[in-house]
Amino acid sequence: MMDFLAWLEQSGFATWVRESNSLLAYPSVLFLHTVGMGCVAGISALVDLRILGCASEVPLTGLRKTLPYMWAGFWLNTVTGIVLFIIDATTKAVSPVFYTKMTFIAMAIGVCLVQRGVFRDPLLDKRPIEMKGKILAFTSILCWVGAITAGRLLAYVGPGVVSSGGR
Amino acid sequence: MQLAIAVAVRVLVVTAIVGVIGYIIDRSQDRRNNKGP
Amino acid sequence: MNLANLTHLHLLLNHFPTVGFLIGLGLFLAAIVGKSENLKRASLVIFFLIALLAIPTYLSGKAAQQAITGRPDVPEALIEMHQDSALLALVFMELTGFVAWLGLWQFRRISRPARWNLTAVFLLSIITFGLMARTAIMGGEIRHPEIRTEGTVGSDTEWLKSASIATFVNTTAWAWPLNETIHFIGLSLVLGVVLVVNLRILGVMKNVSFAALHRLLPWGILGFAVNLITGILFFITIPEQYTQNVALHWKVVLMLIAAANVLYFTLFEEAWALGPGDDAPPTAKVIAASTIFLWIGVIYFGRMMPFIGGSF
Repeated sequence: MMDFLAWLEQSGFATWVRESNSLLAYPSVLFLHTVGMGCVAGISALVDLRILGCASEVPLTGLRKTLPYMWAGFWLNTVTGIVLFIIDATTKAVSPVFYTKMTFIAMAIGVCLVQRGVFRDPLLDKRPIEMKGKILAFTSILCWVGAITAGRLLAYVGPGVVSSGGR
Repeated sequence: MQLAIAVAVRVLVVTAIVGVIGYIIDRSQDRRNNKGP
Repeated sequence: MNLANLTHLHLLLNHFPTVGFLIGLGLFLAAIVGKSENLKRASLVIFFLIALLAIPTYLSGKAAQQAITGRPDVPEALIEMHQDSALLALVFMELTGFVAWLGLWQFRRISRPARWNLTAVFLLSIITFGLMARTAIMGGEIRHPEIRTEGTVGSDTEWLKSASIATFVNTTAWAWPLNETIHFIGLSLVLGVVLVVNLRILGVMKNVSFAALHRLLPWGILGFAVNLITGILFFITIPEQYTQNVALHWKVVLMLIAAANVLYFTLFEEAWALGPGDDAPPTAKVIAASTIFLWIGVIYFGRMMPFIGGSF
């Protein structure tokens, strides 16, 4: 397994991303990953806050139309996340912080999928929100906070990526 | 690992405080404005 | 920008949180006495905009310090006192700006600010002005020995000391990662609100009135406030990595424009009047698209600080 990861890490693409001076390499991947994070966590958090009772004038059925943009952020981060993993695969694959992050993301996305089913209910705005829904929403927020924290801490694990991009 | 836990705990505390402040300010607007979609 | 330009910028900008703020305060008092709703709103706008300008004023002050530090005729202790006084004044200035913005937001929704809001703005602005005036006097004394009084130099009474904050963050292992994480959480909140509000204007979820989404703006401002605090903490801790960082300069410029832009969504009729099913006029859509780009630009330059700025 480690051999495969090392092979990934030493591949031409991974080496280019990691060591190129171009702003389009590592710096851009990081930038896009940050934007994706803002999209997915931000929109998800707002939906959750609405479910928890904030900004009650906003109809939930309306917020549903913003979900494609949330998913766009998620997919952007899946792609950029894979790149970020590959360029440092041998370190990340054995890092508990990495798996913690993946777990939180899986849980948060799990909640989003459940919410997707709820959003299909045409009577959504006519009924008060069940306690189950509120607990899920609260859990979702916690999971994103956990994912962002673990993601940030990943930068402090191992030798990491030493990039001189942009000089 | 200890660093990770130290950071995580404090992140939770700060987020909780900020979240509660935001929630209170938000809900206080309900009494004034009309509720509902 | 080199240190000389940044110093000049500091000398230019510092008129806003002092003289500018005093004018705003005067208008605010006149508005209360004269019971003019329009003047009240105008003065709240002035407080908000000046609170924004106070940010680059503070940041450029650090560059000014770096430009003159070490010279024999420059009392370091006075600079430290001025800086610490400025930080405290900045805290209250931003609080004033925040409460003023909340008042403007309430003005839009219920045609008047909440009863407590005007009182809070009044109290905060008086305190802010006092702290700004104190800071300004200390600032003047740095280069003007002729206005110093006995006992000016060396008094160690600052409540909020940048040096202590910097030392704490630098010596506490969890502090910097905590600050970064909170900064990312604030970023997500800001981008989330920016996207939802602006996507409506661009035509997504047309069955929702803008007035309903207007309700989300305070959450965006909360995210902004969190990032302002964490951002200043970064700056105070290792200013050398920031003062001449081109990426940070761009980030601050874009951030100020984007933050001032919030007033369009908070106050303007063009946005507020958008009902369920309405299509926004083209100018509104241009503004909405630009707003999204502005904030993505802020994220870009923020992320690029180690690379473009080259000082990490």
